[in-house]
Amino acid sequence: MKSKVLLATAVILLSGGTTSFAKEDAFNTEIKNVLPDYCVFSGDFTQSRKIAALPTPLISSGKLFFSCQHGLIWNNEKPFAESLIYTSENLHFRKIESNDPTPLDGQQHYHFARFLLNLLSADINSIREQFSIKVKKEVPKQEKTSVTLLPINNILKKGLSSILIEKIIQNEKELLSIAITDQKQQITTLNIENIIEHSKRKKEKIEHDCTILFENSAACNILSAPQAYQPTESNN
Amino acid sequence: MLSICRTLFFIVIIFSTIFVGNHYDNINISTDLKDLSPTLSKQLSTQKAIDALSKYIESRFILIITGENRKNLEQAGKKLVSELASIDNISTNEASSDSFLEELKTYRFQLLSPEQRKELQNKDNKILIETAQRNLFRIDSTLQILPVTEDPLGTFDHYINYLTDRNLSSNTIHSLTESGKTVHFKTISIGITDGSMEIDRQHILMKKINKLEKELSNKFSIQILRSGVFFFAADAAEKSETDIKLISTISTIGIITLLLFVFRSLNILLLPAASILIGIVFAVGINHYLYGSIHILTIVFGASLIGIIIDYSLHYFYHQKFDPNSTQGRKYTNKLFRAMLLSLITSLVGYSALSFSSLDALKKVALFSCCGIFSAWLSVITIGSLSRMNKVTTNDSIFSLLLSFINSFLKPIGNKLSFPIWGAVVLLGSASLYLFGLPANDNPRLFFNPTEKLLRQEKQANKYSNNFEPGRYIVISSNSSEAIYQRYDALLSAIKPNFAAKENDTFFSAMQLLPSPTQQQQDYQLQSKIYAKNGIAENLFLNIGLPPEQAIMLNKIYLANNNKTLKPTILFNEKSSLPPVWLQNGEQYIGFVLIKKGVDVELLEKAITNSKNQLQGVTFINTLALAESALKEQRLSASILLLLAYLFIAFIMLAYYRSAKALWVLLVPITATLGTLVIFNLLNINITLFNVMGLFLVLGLGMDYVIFIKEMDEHNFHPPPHSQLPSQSLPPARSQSVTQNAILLSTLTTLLSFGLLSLSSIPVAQAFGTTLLIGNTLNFLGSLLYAQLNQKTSANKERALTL
Repeated sequence: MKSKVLLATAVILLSGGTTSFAKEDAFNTEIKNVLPDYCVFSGDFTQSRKIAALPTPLISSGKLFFSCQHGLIWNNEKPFAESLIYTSENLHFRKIESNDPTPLDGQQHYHFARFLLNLLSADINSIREQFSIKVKKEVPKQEKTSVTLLPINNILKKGLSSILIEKIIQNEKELLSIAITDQKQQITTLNIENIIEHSKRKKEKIEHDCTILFENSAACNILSAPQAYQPTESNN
Repeated sequence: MLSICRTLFFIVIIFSTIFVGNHYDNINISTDLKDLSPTLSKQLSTQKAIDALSKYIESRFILIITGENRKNLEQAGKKLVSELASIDNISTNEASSDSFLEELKTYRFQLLSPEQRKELQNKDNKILIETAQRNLFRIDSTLQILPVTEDPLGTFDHYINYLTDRNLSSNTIHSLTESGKTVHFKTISIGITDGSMEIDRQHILMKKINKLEKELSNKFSIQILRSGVFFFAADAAEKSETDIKLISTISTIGIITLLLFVFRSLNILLLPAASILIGIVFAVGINHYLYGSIHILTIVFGASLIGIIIDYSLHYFYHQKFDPNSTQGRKYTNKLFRAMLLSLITSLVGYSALSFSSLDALKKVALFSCCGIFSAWLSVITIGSLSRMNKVTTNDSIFSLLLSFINSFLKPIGNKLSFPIWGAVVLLGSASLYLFGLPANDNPRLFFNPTEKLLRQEKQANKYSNNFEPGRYIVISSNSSEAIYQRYDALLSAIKPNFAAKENDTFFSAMQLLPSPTQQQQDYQLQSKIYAKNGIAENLFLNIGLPPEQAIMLNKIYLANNNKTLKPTILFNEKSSLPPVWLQNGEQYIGFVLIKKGVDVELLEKAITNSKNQLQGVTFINTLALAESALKEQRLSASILLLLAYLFIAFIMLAYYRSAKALWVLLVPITATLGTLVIFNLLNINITLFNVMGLFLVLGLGMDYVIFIKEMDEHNFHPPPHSQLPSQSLPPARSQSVTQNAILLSTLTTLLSFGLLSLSSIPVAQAFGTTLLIGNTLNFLGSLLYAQLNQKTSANKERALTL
């Protein structure tokens, strides 16, 4: 009798442990399912921002280039031409047309850059440091998978309310949608489509692909060697 | 006289009973290290500001979590914060920022970051509208705190980011690469809302931190580093507690054993026990009512006070060998009371001298000791007669043997010496010491003796935290907040020619984070460019299709917020988690300028000193140097005070005995003092303020012994001229033996207590203990020598009379 009780207890305990591991795995799978699984890729994006009191959303569009080793170029083409360069070395810049790049310092940029880079490189562990994950309890559809992230970091919390990430497969093409809801419940939706995977083997090849994509090497140069664009210290 | 004593004793008992009734379970024990720090500034307002900053520093500590895995680090951090936040008096920086942000929003029309101010001043509306429009389409503007309809140019957002980037207590995870190995770390700043220096609170918090450290280190493979005064205070308190237990237990056991050995009766313990109990309770009560708590160092001294307090009972018992109802017994008792009164006065002079120190801890010790000694003395005088119901017998055989042995060594000296020669030797010795001086040590670091582990952790923590120069900062004071800003600007201009570093890389101050009141009004006016009719907001809204009502509404809000000023006291309050770099004391305003690590502080101090004339109200504070100079000043003034105490006691002796020869009694404590200093020199012990303070007690105790020798040595007893007592004559050998035995027992109990104090791990207590151990041994030997010379002088006088 005693041994049966012990056995039953062990089974219950083991099943509890297994359930918790299974939950963790489920979270990881959910995120992995929606995030890109390429190390180097490019694509076209459309950004739509809904502002309260504004009848129509503000639409912008452009191209992006991402390398899990180097970082991201977010190249806005319409309505304004400018590039945002978030590098893996935590040096970030804004480049407006032919002007010199402006470094983007500060914790706000640091956190937002980390968030985007982690998301695009599908760095689940890092995402978990900044967000908790809310999984919708609905029957997953084959053509659409989604996950909601809730910020836990104080700085992100000041601006963000939630992030809904969806991966939609349409006509065998992949569309990544990221809907960011801010604290005022205004939603910014980023749709990334025409995703093309690039080779990640050689640095030169990555730089080459980047340069071809943007027909301009400035942003790509910054991405591959951000230290060179850091402003030199000048005396007060 | 006895009736006054009884009335006072009654008051002491009533007070002690009320105190015990009210506080038997809630005595606050303070461990504040500030009590051991001298006054650093002669200006009251500056000292108040330094005290306020010290209080803030005491009420905060930092935990740095380091590890190789960021995820583990974040999880450990979350767990640590949530567990610590569950403690009543703990606030974490994570919890405090939200409500603060809401408060700041109401001042957004007055606040601009320097960069935004420059943009608004230099760029025309067209460019600013285009920038704002661009911003709306930018992906990174998603994090903007206020929507475009409330903050069209994102100026408030800019200001908050400016503040956040400069705040000390950020919660982000940072990385540090050393020898190819990357270590991540997260700094958690913890505030203790009240009672940070109370021992009970410390116990609760330390227990929790130790438990969490163990648990989280194992679970997440992380390391938790501690940094802050709180840990040093807790460490000192832990050591003090060990000392208190050790001193009080061993001295109580030792004293009881000695008493039982000498008096061979358990009843005899009642009077000393009662006097110790009443003395300690009264002293604790007075301290607690006056200071609201009792400092741990006071308790350490209190434990050693047992050895002094018990002296009154010992003398009382030793000199109760006559029938108290007989004429002889009554007269003898009167003499004893007089001796005890004189002894009390000299002890009170010695202990009260400690209150002249600027160290709060010593003032508290002085009050505690004086109250304890006085009430114990009152107890013996008032209830001593009750203990005489049983005849007191003493077992003096070993003591007498010991005394004979010591006296045989002193005899050759006594034979050659006379009071004038002794006096001459003492004068010569004093002059030599004055001329040649003695090596001293005034370094305040010597007063704290933290564990190696704690120091190592502090050093490691400093490596990770982007912190400030410890103990060096600039204080700017004035009677208006605007003037503080002007003086800060003057400081920047003054150091500019010699100092290359950038302002933000050099300083952290309120003046960098918050615009001055005048600047805030200018910033408000500047923002009319955005909010006025036909301004940037209206045009921007028109461009993006927002209805015109939005701009009208925003304009109304802007106009309604005219004439507001965000005062620095609001920004630098507890909610902001910013350090209190701004203080207001009535009409006095003080701005602190903290110096970032890595700045050449010597050069900075030099630059400020060189521009002293242009920098009114600007003071460079070097706490270590100031503390060192303050302690030196204290040591020198204490030495002069010691001299004055000798003069004061000399005056009492002259007034009481009305004979210049009474001054010979002072030779005993003077010799002990000189001897202690010489022995220190031989042992390579540098003199500190606490050694000098200990010498006051050497004076008090030395006088105690010699007064009993003089008063109770029947052969030499001559009543003072104003006394109605006739001269007495009893066998001198017997009287001397009784007095010397009592003094030997008293010395042993004192040495037991102070000897244990000299083993203390607290450097201050150790200095006192060592001084008293050496000084009091010399006091005892000096008293015996005095007795011999006194006897020799009397014998010579008698011989002369006979001839």
